[in-house]
Amino acid sequence: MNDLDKIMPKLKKIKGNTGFKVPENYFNEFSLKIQELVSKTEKTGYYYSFGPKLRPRLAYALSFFLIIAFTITGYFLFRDNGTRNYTTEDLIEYIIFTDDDLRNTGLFNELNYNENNENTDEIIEYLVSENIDYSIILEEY
Amino acid sequence: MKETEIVEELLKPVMQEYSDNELIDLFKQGENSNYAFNLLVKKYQEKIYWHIRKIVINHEDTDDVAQNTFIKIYKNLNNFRKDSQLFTWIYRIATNEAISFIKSKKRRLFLPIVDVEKGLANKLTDDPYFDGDELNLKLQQAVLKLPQKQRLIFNMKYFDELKYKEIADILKTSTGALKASYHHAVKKIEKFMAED
Repeated sequence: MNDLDKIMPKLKKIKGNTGFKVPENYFNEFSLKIQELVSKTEKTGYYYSFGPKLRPRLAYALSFFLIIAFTITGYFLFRDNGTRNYTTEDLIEYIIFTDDDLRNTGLFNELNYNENNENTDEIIEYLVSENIDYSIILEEY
Repeated sequence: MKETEIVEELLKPVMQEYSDNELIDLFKQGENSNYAFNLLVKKYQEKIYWHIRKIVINHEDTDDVAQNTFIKIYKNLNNFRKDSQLFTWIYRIATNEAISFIKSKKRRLFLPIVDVEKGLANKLTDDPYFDGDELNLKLQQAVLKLPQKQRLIFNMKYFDELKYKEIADILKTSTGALKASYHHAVKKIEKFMAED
């Protein structure tokens, strides 16, 4: 007799019965189910179970993967839009292939080159006095 | 009689013929490993099911945990070195799987393990696979109030009628500690059962 049954004789009535039951024919079907799982395991080398242990792990792994994927995608997306560096060659190419107005109003104004500018003559005089071939500069601009 | 029951009846004398060691040897030979494993499942499925059921309570959860247990056994049986008895090893795997299940449930629901077990006790009355009377219900509720280790020990000692030595082998603990835990568990259950 169990210790508890000695202390509580009324428990002798249930004789260690838990009160749990299983669906009809459960154990016969259970062994067949295990056979199927075993053959799957043999074929694939592993066993996919969406049972209690794997379900949360799969969910965590999937969430983690998605977070990482979004982070990486976002990083490259924003990096391309915001921080792309142009080389000097890129800029020159851009100016050359852009229309004349832009060239005239943009870069040329910055260089302060104007045929009608009063300062232009002074500059040319200075270049002649210094024996500098200004035609090269003019060709450049 | 159904086909599966006929097979079961036919297998009964065969199962009784093979000892655990013979089943392991047959499994390890390779040629008859599926046959040997099927015999092993049939030999232990009920014991393992009821052991897990007393821990996780719900039938569907028990079914999942029992399946995982047997798959784990299948995958590791080749490495079993007979240092312990086969049934001790199988019980240990089942116990670990069931405890892992309870822990994962706790993580999923963001609950302390005590609350998970309290939830199990409350659900017992609505469980279609529980047909115990009031005394059964009260005893199960009392058992579910025990700390996890005491609950395991109580179930194995009281319901499964395992020896202290066997429980000690399964849980890898000393028989002295087990006896103390079981004693405490019995006292707590007695107190709970006396309450109305």
